Amino acid sequence: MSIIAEISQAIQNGKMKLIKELVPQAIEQGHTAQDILNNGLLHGMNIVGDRFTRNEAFVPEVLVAARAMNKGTELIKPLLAAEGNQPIGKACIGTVQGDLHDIGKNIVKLMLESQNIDVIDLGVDVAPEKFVETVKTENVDLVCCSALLTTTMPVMEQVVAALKEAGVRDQVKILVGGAPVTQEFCDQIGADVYTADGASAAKKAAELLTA
Amino acid sequence: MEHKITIISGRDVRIVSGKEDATLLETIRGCGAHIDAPCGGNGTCRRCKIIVSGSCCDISGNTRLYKNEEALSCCLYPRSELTVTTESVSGSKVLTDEADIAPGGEGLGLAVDIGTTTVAAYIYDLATGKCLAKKGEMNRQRAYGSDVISRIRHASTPEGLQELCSLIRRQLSEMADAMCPDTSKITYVSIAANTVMQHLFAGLSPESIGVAPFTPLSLFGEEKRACDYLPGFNEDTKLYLCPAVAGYVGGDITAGLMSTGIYESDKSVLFIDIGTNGELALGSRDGFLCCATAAGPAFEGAETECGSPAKDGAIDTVNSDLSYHVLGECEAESICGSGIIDAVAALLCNEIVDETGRIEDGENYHFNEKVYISGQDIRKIQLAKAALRAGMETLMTRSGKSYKDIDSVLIAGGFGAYMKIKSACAIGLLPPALMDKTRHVGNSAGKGAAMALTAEGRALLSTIAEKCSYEELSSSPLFNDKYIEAMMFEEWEEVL
Ligand code: B12
Ligand code: FES
Repeated sequence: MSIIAEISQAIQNGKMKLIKELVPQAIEQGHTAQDILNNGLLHGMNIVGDRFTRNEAFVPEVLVAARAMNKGTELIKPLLAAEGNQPIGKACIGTVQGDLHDIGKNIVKLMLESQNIDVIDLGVDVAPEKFVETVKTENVDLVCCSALLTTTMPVMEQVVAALKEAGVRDQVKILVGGAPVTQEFCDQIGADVYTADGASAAKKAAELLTA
Repeated sequence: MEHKITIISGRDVRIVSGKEDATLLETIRGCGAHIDAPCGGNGTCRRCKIIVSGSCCDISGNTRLYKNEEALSCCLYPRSELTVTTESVSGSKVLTDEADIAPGGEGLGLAVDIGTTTVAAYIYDLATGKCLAKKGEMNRQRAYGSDVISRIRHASTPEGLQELCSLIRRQLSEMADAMCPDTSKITYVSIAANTVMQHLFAGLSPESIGVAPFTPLSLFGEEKRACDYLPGFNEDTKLYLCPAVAGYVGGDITAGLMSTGIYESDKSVLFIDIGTNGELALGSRDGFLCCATAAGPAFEGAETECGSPAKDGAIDTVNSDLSYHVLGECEAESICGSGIIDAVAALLCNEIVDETGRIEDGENYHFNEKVYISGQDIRKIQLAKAALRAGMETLMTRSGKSYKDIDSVLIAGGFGAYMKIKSACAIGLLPPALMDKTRHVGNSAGKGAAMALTAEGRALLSTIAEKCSYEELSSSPLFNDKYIEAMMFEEWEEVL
């Protein structure tokens, strides 16, 4: 197995210690940071994401894999910058106002990052104005809203309206999700994308950004 | 525009008129016919199925003719005369165990436990302290969603609030009439319920409990005039709503802490009410720390693909060799909460599901052609059981207690009563280390409500409520760590 494949495998198994050994070795052997990132770290994380979508892996496994991946990207960060690697786009994500559930949102964030998307995390209980402000000041391509309560789903509609009002609706794609959210609801409020899980959300996001 | 709609549920046939802008679900429940709608019309639970004939418009705006087709009633609007057949939902079992209360009063007392799913009511002879009659029913608000959040959402308009409020008040009046030929003899009414149900009964808006920071309008605990709530009751009959601790720790919990006697215990006791919500309290006579976890519907069968409440045709027990028992001794049609927990334990024990919760061969596990457990079902159970367990672990850490400090674990609540402790420990919902110290306490809220029919009971209850503090889990990093830790199935070998 090539060292790059080994890195991918170590991510899939959530082995942070092993990543700490393998990544410097790969650099030593002359692999570019870009190669390590795309074919090692992100490759492994994508496989974990797919397994998660198919119910073969679950939240804790995604989280340990993500921890290992974060370690790996940290190690190659300076090199990536030197090689001129650019993330494929920028997203902001938050759980909408009135809602404090954040585990799903955090998973979506990790999955977006594993597609090489830069993510600004706005946290929980995020007001529509906060999303607008972020779009205006941070030049994001994607706005991601999470809601787990049927009582806070309507806030997503307010986010869409606020972005329209501020005249920035067309600069961004709006993604919505969370257990009670459906495709119909997404269509109804005029958001752009709904997916049922985090890994599919990130795939969709990557498609939008590279289209 | 309105259309004539014929609603058939079992032998019950009703003809009503349905507005074009009202979903069929709204029309069906509006006329009082039975329909299950766990997600409250959100289109996500797929339980509000009907068979429909006639022209309808779906939520995406497409109108077409339905010919005896299965469809979700919450997603259809009538466009012509319709015939609609609903699945008849037979009520599930309601916990109505009772205990004597202190004698010495006058007249009759009405004690009620309003659960999100069920309502239990008792008539007491206050002079002797004996229970004369009791009755259990499904909460009629259930057609508006199985969890409190769906009810809150429905009550977010004044008309919706009015609707839910009169539904529960009428139900209590009718239950009282059925148990007691002369309700004018009732001198006291005492009600224990979760905070949202108490708001709905009192006619207060629960809206603020539905969004962070989940602040209720009232914590109750005061004496009111019964006739202001329940028409036909005497002018001088009093009504008391048991005191709540927070938006998600209600008067049913304080009542339970009283009736189980843990407020007197000098050792630490863990009190767990597993109903449609999951509430926890840990403490002793020195006071309690309480929290709420979002448990319920997964265990009541609402979130699993073949799940149902406990009713005829539901698998309610699964043995470790995967043989099973069906309520009503017929062919299995569904699986109820206690069956689901048993099933997960048995699947672990037979290594069909591994410790991460993955079904080894990736296929749904079938009990028969119709009833199965899917990979997604197991994930839902993992999310729910981990939330309860992490709630317990958080309370223990915050109180500086470990398993050896806990004297006993008491399981209350509608679902808790039917859940097998061994299976619950096997899936890690309850700590296996405490299995031998864990026991059922039945309808502790109903018994507490009965005790609150006496002045001494009410005085005691308010001191208990004062000694309760609330731990918010939503923004707790400690809870989050424990939650992730509790998600796997790593403990079954300690039990099975
Ligand atoms: C864990 C949990 C909690 C934790 C939250 C911890 C935290 N920091 O987030 C705690 C215990 C604090 C909690 C609290 C509450 N909860 Co809660 N909670 C849950 C539970 C069990 C799991 C949620 C979860 O973390 N899932 C795991 C993640 C990975 O999945 P996910 O969030 O769905 O996210 C995935 C997808 O939806 C998607 N996704 C998510 N966001 C986005 C965004 C975008 C843009 C896209 C594309 C995709 C996407 O991708 C994610 C990854 O695949 C659910 C039940 C359930 N099965 O969903 C109830 C649930 C959401 N809670 C509920 C309720 C009511 C509450 C409370 C308000 C009341 C209560 N009874 O406890 C309280 C708040 C008050 C309090 N007690 O503090 C209800 C909501 C009911 C309704 N009709 O809306 C639920 C459904 C349980 C139930 N049926 O009663 N809860
Ligand atoms: S899908 Fe219609 S009530 Fe849930």
